[in-house]
Amino acid sequence: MASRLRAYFAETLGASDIEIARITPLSGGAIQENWLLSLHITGGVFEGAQQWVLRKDAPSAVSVSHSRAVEFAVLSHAFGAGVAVPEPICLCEDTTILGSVFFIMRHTGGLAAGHKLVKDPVFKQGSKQLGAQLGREMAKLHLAPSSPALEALLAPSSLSPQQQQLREMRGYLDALGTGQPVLEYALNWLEDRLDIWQTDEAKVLCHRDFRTGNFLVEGEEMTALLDWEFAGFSDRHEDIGWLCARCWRFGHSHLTVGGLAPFATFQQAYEKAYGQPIHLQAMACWQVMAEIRWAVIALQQANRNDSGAEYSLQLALSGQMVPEMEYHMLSLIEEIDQNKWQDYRQ
Amino acid sequence: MTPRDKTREHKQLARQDSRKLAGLIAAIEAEFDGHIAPDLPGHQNFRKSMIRRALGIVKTQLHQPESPEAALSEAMEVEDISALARAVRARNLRSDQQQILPDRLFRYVRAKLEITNPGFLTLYERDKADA
Repeated sequence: MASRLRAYFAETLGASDIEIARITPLSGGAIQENWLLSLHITGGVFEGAQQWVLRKDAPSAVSVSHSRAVEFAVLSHAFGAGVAVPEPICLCEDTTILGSVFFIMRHTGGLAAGHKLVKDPVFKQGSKQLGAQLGREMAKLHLAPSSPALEALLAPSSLSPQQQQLREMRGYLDALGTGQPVLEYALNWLEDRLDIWQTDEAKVLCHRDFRTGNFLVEGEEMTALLDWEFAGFSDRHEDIGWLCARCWRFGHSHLTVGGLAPFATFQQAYEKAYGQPIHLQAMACWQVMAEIRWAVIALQQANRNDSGAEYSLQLALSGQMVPEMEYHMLSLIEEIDQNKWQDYRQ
Repeated sequence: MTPRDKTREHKQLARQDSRKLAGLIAAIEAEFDGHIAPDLPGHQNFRKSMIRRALGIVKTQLHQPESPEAALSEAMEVEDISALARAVRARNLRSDQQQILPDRLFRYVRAKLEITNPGFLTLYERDKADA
């Protein structure tokens, strides 16, 4: 791996010499593999010591994620818009180098693991500083101007994001071929509430996996938003509902913003930066969809194991988490129907 | 032998098989905890916890008198869970079925959680109360 990478970097980056001191696998990512590269480059624009991350497909890629080439394009777009993301370095589509397409980005410091972050005393009562920053960064992304090239890559649907998601989720359930009455019930419930779920706003570039675990945190500061493999044009409330989904709070259920921050500071910062209020009913509906979508992804991951495509205990256990998402979606539905939903107050 | 007798016999055999499997799982668990896990290095903690969790799920599942899927299908008077999922999607449940559906789904999910993550509901309710 090291010798092929060295030759590739020398040719692509115009370096006269490259020393790869270390290649270390990074934790996390059942869908993608991430490797930390410690390099010393002589010559070219990246001369000096470098810490880069190489990102490539894991064997268990799921059908809903983008190719690495598309992800690299979206990451570059977000970087250009000033969103806190790792600096993209280069994309390699030559599969003879590592066996699959990969891209390189600059390594950014910080911790992503949600189960570790929630144990930090600074997040016990929630961090207003982090909540506000998450609000500002998300607004920056939603305000990022689109481009014809990006639209060609992400191919926005002519359907509304809500109808698109209903169709996609039912399609994935059909492909899985297992009876999922709770998910079907929740999808029908959302379909019956399109009047409060749809906002008639223009679609914006959304990360679509903006949650604790996918951004790096140092102290109380978010240093980078990672994992752009699901990005697409959608209703901005999809990102808000996903960040505030109950399945992504890592046991800190009392803190709506990813188990790390109270909602009020996030809301205030987001609305100020974006210039429009958050529609709370739409957000609540997207929270229900977040639980459905994560449940579907978990079922797809488990199916990789169950079908024999790739035996992995981690993938198999993903499927065992589905009842948790189902409990969240049924609880949310009950609370919304009974006017008891209060996540915006936590 | 009447159909009822056959069913009874089938259930008894299934119980015996479950007992054997439960014994095997308990033995694997004891072997793992007693001889393998203590010697694994720290960076394998995640794998250790995954194995323990998986064994725990299988063990709990084997002790269930009836699967949550079977209980839901019976309560909803449908052939199986796939038939129920299709009927929900098509919105062709009878009105009496429609009326009990949310409650039955809640019971079904709680029963699944008793197998996959028994502590989940306690933690969820505690956190909700704290909030």
